[in-house]
Amino acid sequence: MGTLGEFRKHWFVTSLCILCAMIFFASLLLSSANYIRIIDAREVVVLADAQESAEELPNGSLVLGLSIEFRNPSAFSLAISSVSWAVSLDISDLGGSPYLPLANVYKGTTESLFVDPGETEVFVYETVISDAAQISKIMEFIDYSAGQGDDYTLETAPYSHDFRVTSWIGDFRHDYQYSGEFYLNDMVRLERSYSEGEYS
Amino acid sequence: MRIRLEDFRRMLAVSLFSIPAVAFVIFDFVFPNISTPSLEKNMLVAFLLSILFGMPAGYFLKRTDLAILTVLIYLALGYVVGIVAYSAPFIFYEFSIIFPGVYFLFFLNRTIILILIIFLGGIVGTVIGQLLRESAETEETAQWFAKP
Repeated sequence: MGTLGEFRKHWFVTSLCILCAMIFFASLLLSSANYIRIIDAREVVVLADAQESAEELPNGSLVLGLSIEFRNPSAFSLAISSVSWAVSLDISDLGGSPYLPLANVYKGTTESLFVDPGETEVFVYETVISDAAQISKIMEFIDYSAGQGDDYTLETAPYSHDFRVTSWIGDFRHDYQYSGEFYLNDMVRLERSYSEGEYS
Repeated sequence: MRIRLEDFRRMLAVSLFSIPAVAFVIFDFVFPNISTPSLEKNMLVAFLLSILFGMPAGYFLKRTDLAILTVLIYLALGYVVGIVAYSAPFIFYEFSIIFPGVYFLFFLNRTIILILIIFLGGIVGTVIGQLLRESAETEETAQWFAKP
């Protein structure tokens, strides 16, 4: 008896086998599609349109700000797990400490903020620098730079903004504890940063 | 051991029943968090399922050597399909692999034990499949000669 004849004769077992094969094949396609969409999300989710601002108030204080977009054109919603923003001034030329930290904000969310597919989340930060010691240090840098030929003011000094956001893709499991399985957490974790004018 | 063309055709046809399942289990073992449903890297469940995958080979092939060879065939082809699924973003889309050697070595490293488990389960499955076939045939014969 030929192969097809054998299958026809045992039609019940053959049908069961075909059904099982189709179920597993559908699962494979679905899982593979998930994988493709995750790789896609890792490519297309970006930080963009960062706008730094510095404004001197009439009382001599300084307002520093950053506005930046977190764009999610992927197919998954992103659960943001931590956001941080830091701004500092490079004063290594003055000797002593290389950086003057001006502001530092960190938010590790317990109830995640979600960015839905196709949505853009805009993060806006502002801080007021009114500490006389910090202002005088900035002025010291400005005076030193003037001697070097750079014409800075409180508003145009080269402040360095560092913004980082970490998020989880979709609701895929990401709590693997064994070191050999960390790649599973890494695969669904997105880290984006903006530092000194560059996105990564 | 002599394999006729008809035997080979049947082996390939029977392999088709098990290839998707093997490919899925292998893919799931590498990415348990994104596959649906997931075995969550449970070796015992993988072994029990692999017994199921071997049963068609035992059921449709009376010769044990051909049944075991069929296990090898569906395991090899299933592994290839698993690799295709694992590489799907890079084969069908324009994403690029940064370190291809490391990428595929990683897949092999994650699944080498699983392959042995599936092979072992497949052989056990062929035996169970053959027993099932014999049982079905015995019952069929008994029904054929039964008094109306």
